Amino acid sequence: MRTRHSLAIGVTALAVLAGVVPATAATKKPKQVFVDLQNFAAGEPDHIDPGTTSTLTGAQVAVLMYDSLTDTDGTGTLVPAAATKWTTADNGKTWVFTIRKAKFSNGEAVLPSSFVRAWIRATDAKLASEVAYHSYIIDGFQAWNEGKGPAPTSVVADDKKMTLTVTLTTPFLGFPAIASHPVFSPIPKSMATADAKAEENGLTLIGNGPYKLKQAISKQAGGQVTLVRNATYWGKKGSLDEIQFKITKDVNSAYNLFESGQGMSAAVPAGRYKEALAKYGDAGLGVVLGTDYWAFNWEDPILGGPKNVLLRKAIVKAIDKSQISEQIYQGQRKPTDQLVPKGIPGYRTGLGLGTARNLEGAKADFAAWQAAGGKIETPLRISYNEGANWDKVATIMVGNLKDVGIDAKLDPFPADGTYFSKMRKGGGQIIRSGWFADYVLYDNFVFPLLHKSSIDGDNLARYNSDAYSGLVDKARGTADQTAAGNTYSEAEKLALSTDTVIMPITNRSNNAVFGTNIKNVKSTPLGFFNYNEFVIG
Amino acid sequence: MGTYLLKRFAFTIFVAWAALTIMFLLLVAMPGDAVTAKGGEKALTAGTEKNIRLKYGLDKPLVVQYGKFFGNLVQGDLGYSFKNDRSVNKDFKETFKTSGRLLLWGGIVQIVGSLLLGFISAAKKGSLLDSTTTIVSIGTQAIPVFVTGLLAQVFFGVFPTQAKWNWLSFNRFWPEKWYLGVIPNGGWKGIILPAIVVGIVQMAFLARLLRSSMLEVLRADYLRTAFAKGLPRSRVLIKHALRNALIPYVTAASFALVEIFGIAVQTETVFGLYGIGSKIAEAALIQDTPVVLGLSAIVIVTAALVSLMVDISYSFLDPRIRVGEKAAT
Repeated sequence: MRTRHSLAIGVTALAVLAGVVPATAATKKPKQVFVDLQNFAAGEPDHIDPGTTSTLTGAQVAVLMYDSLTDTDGTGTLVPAAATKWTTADNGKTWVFTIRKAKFSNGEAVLPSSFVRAWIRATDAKLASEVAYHSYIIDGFQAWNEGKGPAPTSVVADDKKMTLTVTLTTPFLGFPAIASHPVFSPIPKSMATADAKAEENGLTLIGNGPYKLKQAISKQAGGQVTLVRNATYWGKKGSLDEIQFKITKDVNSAYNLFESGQGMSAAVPAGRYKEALAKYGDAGLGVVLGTDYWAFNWEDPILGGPKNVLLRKAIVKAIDKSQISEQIYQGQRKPTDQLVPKGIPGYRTGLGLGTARNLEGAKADFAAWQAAGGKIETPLRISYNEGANWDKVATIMVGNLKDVGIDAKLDPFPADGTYFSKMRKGGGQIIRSGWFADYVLYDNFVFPLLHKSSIDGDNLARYNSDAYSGLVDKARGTADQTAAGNTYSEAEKLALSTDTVIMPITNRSNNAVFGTNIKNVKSTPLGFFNYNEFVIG
Repeated sequence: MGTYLLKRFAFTIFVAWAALTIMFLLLVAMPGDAVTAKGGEKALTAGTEKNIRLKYGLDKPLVVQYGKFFGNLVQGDLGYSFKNDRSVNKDFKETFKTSGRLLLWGGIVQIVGSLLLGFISAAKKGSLLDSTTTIVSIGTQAIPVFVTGLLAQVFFGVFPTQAKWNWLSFNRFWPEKWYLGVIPNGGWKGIILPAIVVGIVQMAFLARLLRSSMLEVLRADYLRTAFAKGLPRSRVLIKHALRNALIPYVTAASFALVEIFGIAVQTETVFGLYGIGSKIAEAALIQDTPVVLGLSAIVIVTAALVSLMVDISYSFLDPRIRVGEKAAT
């Protein structure tokens, strides 16, 4: 018996050496399990359901579990995902998507009707999804979401032809880019009535992406969300067998766990960027489509309106963006003078007042404003929500403005949503803000942040310019993409240089490091990492 | 006794109700609400805000919200988080386990460590160990727990790992499986640093207290007599000195065990563990009312019941005390 066993081992070894039997048959390849400490380093996610997640960290998991209609590749180019192609015959009012033959992880076919089901659910008022508004551009969806209309019929599924026809409220050629958002993912029949609590109940979330949930999830810090490869996925199979997203609540302690060999990635704590870059490289530190900026309250009697433009220009020229970039972000976030970052189609330079500090220009503008009767009687308020070093940025700004003779003071608010709700109602003078792109579109910056219809919303400056809004509206309806880009840029230049209603400071970037044995780490311009292509070396 | 218990039970219910009502009113009085706290750089649309208010009943008058909360509470339903729709009952089960285990192991570190260090310091007065205990005592009480925790992670996690001294690396994930609910079933290294950080602050203080108390006892005439009679030093120290020095130590240790609740909240945060305290603190910041009130309700009722049990236990421990009787005038 013993002899026979030894003989079998010997024959197998010889076969492997001779290449007759693949090595994997004899020596099992170790399981590729990725332990992540960067995605949920700062706490629990809100949701990972594509219909409800409103955070980048939650969406990172959702995009691994679900394929939306379209996707954005590493260069920011729109590529097919659940849809193989899309066409419009009426300048962007109606879109026809051809749906790829694929399956959900439970074996159910992904059909055009799977999308209708998902979109109706995500916009159902009962779900109260914070991302339902992305669908408002589709005819009837806003009324449905607000309880003012029936379930819309503007999305028509033909499961035989595998087409999905979508009618918008207004022609918009950027819709395929919007359709890359996770909220436009399909869901199987079993999820049609799933509420927001469904995530907690085990394997309710069933997707069509390269990964699926392994087990009932705990969104509790100290817990984890575990994904495993989806064998039914239509495309290239995920490179990792399993991804464990560990949930911690302190970036520093998560980083220390990573450096103690307990994980394969970590978020970089404040002030440790250069050290992390030197040790682990820049794969997780790339620039993403996002901008930090400060808005000037257009309605403020001292600072706002056309008559105070010279004061605003003086402030913009006085601020030393390089100092902020170096001192606060150790050079990780690069100075910028533009709202729309590089990487957005239509991007061009020369729209702002310059990235470098212009002290003499600032003094001249301030003097001219004073000569015209302008007067600062009480220090200008630099408002910000506490946390993320905004106090330090504001302190640098106060010092920079003092060099010009402009008196300013810190105006801190607690680190919760009340700051933004107050600023949206015009409660600030110089207002801290920032923006991450939802999709790779010029419109995604210039419309929500400065269009007059966004006042009380994300237009924190309360910028109310017919000229600006008219340009944006014109660009939205322009079929020629180059011409549309030119018009968007013209609008941005009007807001930044002519009216100077906001002050961009730095571009945003990802903030993660990966172990040196992790290969093929890339991220999209929207900030998502390609976990499905990671290789553990 | 029966009447007294009934009265105390009614009083406990009243205290819990009053405390929760005050907390409810404080949360309501805070600027904004759970919906405004949800908005960040990206605004919620008016429609979304309305839907969220409808979903969580925030559109209803405060009296109705208040009534609904207490109605659900008496049925054992603590509600759902406004942040992520997670069941607060589930939150309680998980946070309670984490806090309980951390406090248990932190308490063990505190008591065992202080007894050993205090005893040896007194026995070896003026030695290196004695001096070290003094320095550690001052240091651990002066340095914030956040700093102690991070330093522990670096010195007993990051540095040893980088030097490939894995035997000295204790910065690990909190254990997932437990024997009998309290003994780690694998991954035991994960409890060492959090337990030490929780226990060390009061441990050093208690060790100094025990040392002083023992030294005072050692100066007593009867102990000098014991030494003079030729009794073995170890016997004198343990049987006579330690036993008598333990009386003030036990009193102080009971207070110290209460104080580590506060230390545990900070430790949970710095080690990324979700216990009851840190969960309530985090939820309060975003006005997640069901989580704050639901978890607080359990804490308040538990504290009130413990207080009642302590009062009752006095009558058993000391027959001179009769619970419920008025003091003689």
